[in-house]
Amino acid sequence: MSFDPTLAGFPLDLSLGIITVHARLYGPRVCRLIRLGLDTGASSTVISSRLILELGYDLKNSRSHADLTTATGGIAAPLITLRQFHCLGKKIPRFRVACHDLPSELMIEGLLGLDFLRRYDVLLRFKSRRIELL
Amino acid sequence: MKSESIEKIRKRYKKQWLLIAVDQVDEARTLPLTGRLLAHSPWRSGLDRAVAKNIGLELLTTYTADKLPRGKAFVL
Repeated sequence: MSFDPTLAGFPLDLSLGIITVHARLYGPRVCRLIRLGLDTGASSTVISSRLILELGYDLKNSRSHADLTTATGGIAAPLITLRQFHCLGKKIPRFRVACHDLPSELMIEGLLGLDFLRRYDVLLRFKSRRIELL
Repeated sequence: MKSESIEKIRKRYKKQWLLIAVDQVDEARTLPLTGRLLAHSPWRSGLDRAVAKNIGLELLTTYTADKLPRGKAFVL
């Protein structure tokens, strides 16, 4: 289903089998646009290590880590504070994310978690394929 | 290279990772609108060289698929 830009809200894209949204991430070297899986079951936003390195952050010298519990077990994931994070029209300065590589079969570069979503009232309209921020 | 809609580029390449130099973004929705295709590959790692070569541009990386393949499911 193609997105009608005249309607309010954001496209609810299910083409990869999960909900994906666009996000723009700012690093010391570059900013990048990517697609994230919208995951209300994830407490933290997660970004792939590959992308974090491409943005220009130094993962080796990350001082803080989060104990990530995933479906396949637990890992210590470095935490990086992005200079800016844009998603669903919202711009958040100094947004902290966990760095972890998701299975490549997911075809996404991270997850948008509750640390972003709980700041807003988010309405998912599956039949009309739209996301609204109330 | 001519700028074209991101949707148009995505429709042309199925089951591929795309690297697109973005020309226009709908800032109110964080939605890339138009751009120029720089590289495509079945694997994300296939974009690495082009990513490194185009550091000054605003880049979009995205995978293209119409639907989840039959018999496949994701549980996050």
